[in-house]
Amino acid sequence: MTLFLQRLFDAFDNGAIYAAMALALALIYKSTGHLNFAQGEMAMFSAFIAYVLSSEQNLPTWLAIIISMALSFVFGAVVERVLIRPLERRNPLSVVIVTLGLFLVVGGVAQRIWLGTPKEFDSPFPDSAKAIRISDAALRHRTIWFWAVLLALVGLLFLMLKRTKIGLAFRAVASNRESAQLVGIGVGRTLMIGWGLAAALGAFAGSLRAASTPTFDTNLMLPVLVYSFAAVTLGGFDSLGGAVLGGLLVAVFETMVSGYVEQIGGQLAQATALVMIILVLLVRPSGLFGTRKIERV
Amino acid sequence: MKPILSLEQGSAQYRVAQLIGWAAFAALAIWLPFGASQTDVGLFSDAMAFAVAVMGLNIVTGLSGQVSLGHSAFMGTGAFTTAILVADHNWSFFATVPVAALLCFAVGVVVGVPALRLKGLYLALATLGLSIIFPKVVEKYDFTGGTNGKRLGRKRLVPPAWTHLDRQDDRHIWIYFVVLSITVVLFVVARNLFRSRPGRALIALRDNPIGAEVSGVNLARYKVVAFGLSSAYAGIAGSLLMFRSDIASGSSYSLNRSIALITGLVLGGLATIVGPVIGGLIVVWLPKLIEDRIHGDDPREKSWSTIIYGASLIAIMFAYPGGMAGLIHTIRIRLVQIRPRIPTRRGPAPDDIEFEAVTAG
Repeated sequence: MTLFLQRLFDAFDNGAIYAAMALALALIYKSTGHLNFAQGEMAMFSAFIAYVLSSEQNLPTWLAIIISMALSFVFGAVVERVLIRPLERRNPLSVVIVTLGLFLVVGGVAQRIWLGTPKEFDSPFPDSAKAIRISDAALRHRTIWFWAVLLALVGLLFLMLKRTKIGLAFRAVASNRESAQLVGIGVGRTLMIGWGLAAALGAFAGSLRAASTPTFDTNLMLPVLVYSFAAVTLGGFDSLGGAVLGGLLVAVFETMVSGYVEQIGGQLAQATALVMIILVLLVRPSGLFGTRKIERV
Repeated sequence: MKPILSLEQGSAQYRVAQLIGWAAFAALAIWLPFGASQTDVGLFSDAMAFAVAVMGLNIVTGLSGQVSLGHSAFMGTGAFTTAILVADHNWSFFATVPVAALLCFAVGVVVGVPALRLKGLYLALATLGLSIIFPKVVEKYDFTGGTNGKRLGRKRLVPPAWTHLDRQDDRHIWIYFVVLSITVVLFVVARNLFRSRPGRALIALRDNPIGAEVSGVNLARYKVVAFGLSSAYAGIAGSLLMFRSDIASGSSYSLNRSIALITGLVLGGLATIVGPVIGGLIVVWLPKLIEDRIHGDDPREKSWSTIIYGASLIAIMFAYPGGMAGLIHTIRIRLVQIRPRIPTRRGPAPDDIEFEAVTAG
């Protein structure tokens, strides 16, 4: 029982990171119908920016993360405007290829600058290492902080979507782009904001990931990318809440399977993500909460 | 600008020009192993193997419009199949190639069935998982050599005596010609596939899925078979790489390699026959040319090849989505005009047909 609880708590740790990344992917998918394969590498880069700000500029970690999120917002918006929008009128394949190109460029630039000694990144939260004991299983403060901040961010995002003009515009664009354009919504600007928000969420996920591992390098987000893709698949691509829940469920599935099935172990843990994707596609292609408009073509 | 040459399709001159083109190409391919250095010949053999993998990707991406991020895993499956069968079971190198192809076909179908029934990016998702776990799987088990990779030991592809190439210095020439022959056969098969009924069905699927289905194309079946075939090509490519290499290691079949294959295909030219040839050359020679220009031992400098890959992938999508094959085509049209064949006239010429004037009222 203790072991089970412990594994569940561990899953919550990773779950927060997967959920944030999945949310970023879903945000872009919902508004544009594209998957950003470079999302993970962009998040990794943002985590390094936060690292540089905190360790080299001596800013407090939380401030470094917020600044990195703001910079990532700008970068995400620029990517949408410069790389994605000109190609949107062509086929979806070109956008996929460009995000793969971006994957290489961002990853390569990060390696050029930071390859070598692994970096340490302090947790932005006080007393991170301490834990609450529940029947001998340790629930770390870090985990609680992760979820508290993540849920606060998700709450803010939903408030923005439901209560502000920008949010209304975003939902209009997501539901029907042409009609939105006809009623005078700046579709381009809205999409830029969507990509910017996604990049900022990615920066948050990347920073959490960097803080939750002892040391990190440029491979930081590569494993996370697969889990977060599994999470959006499970949650339904266009459901933001589904992405968050999907992130948590994927983490629980991963931790339990690699914990209890000896053959899978830690090394093959990522196989659980692949299994998850294939299962969802077989059984319920629209995911748990996605709209059922998936075409069987 | 007026074209230098104007040929009628199917005419004698056209045939001769075509023949000269092919002969020049063949002469170059045959001269190469004798004219180039041993290392370069080896790299050209690798480039042909990669061209086969890129052609496989072309079948799924160029022909049916889906993205596969898992072709590195299929190449790896092929390479490990050959390595294991040769090293542990004393198979001949050639006999392992069909096994690699069949195995990859089967894996491709298993992954393809759930993903390809649905429209969109699902294949990319499922295959992304595949290419990320592949290196982990082969590093975990002993029969795949664990973290050290699978070594061939003393087993090598030895040229038969009649070739007089069985000295150690000449082995690369034999390997080159073996890989060349298999590549040519596979390219001819692919070219015929593109023009065959299934090929046209796939193109119809890519361009207008609903229209194709209404016309009686069995979408799911064609897509799954195309993906299986595409995976088999990648498997053969991995197998061919082992003709020259003495070790198969999981780390060389990672996600980055899949993206490199996509880069090669897009830079070479999607949905063309020449594209994958150029793509194979790019995949092998581009990193090599970049690394030759790097001075010093700083491992960080190596990331330049990743950056340049990515940047050229983005640049080509903006500047020239047709890739190099498209560029060559454009230049060729400028230089040589090919007129469609004019059918011989029978019956009244079009001018003689009288049209009745249709007037209102």
